Amino acid sequence: MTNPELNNNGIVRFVLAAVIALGAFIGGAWLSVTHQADESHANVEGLLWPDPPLVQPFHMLDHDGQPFTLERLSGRWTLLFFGFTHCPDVCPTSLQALADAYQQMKAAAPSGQAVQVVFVSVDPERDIPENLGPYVEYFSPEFIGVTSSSEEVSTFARSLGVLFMKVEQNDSYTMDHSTGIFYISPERNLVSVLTAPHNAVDIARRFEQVSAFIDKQT
Amino acid sequence: MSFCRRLLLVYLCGLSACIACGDLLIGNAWVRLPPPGMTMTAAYFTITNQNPTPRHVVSITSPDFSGAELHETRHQDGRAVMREVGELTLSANETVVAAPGGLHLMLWGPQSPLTENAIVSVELTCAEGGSSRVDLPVLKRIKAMPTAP
Repeated sequence: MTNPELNNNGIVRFVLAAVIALGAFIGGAWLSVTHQADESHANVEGLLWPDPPLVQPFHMLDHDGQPFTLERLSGRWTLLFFGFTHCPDVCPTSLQALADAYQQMKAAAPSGQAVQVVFVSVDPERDIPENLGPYVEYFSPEFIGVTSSSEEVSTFARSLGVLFMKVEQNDSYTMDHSTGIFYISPERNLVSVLTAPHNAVDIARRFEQVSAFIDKQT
Repeated sequence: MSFCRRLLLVYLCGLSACIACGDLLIGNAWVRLPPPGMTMTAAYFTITNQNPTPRHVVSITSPDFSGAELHETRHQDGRAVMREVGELTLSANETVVAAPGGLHLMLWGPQSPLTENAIVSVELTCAEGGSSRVDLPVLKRIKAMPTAP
């Protein structure tokens, strides 16, 4: 004859053991996944992780005179570069490198996400939408030129840690400016900054590594 | 320099943008075609002093532009800082590379709109005496785009 109390105890013990085993399995799996994520994070050069800054709201104009605000960064990858059209050396060098990397980045974007390249003028005095359009389209018809009032440009630049300064030069002036390429995720997080001088290989490689990592997290 | 080497030099200079200013040689020279409406651009080149003594390039001018100045872009604390280089000193047997993102000849105010494959001229003056003219092609880009280290 079996003891029902003993039987119940046996079932309770069995269930408890099963719960503990399952917990250990889930815990182990979780540790394994997080450990892998940490490792892959360490393998992505220049990744701003685990707390990538969220881009703050801004009010700019694109080269067609249309508002260019935070919403235009949603749901797509954005590479931002700050410069000015009267820049003879650094800006055309970086924009040409971005143009050379552009098709490769579009092909490599995870889940078919769109990629946009945005040139932000730090010289609103000379760079109005009318001349920004032909300037960026020379490098790629899909590039977007963006400008605004000096105050708005300063606010936007500061929010990304971009510095720029007008420097008198003979009877004209030049702009000292931050030359990083800013990689912004579809969730509008600044996830990486690639410092100058730039070439197409480095730009595309950074994009592929960073975008693949971010895609795995979402 | 032997007669043969001089002859070879003249031949090579005929093939590419290359001249002597004293014993200075300029090669791999090109001017970046600026985007439409832009009047500011830059020229890049390599310059070699084959002399056993230093040479000083004190001015570079161009009849095809209203202005030309030797500039250097420096990357400091994540910022690009572009400043005029008053004089280019080349020690004995030294080669200096002017490449995108570094040393470059800033050119502004083209006398006529620049087109791809057009030829423009610049003239170098050396402190040791003499000046020389070099012709440079206007190019949108070069195949292997070098950048300054």
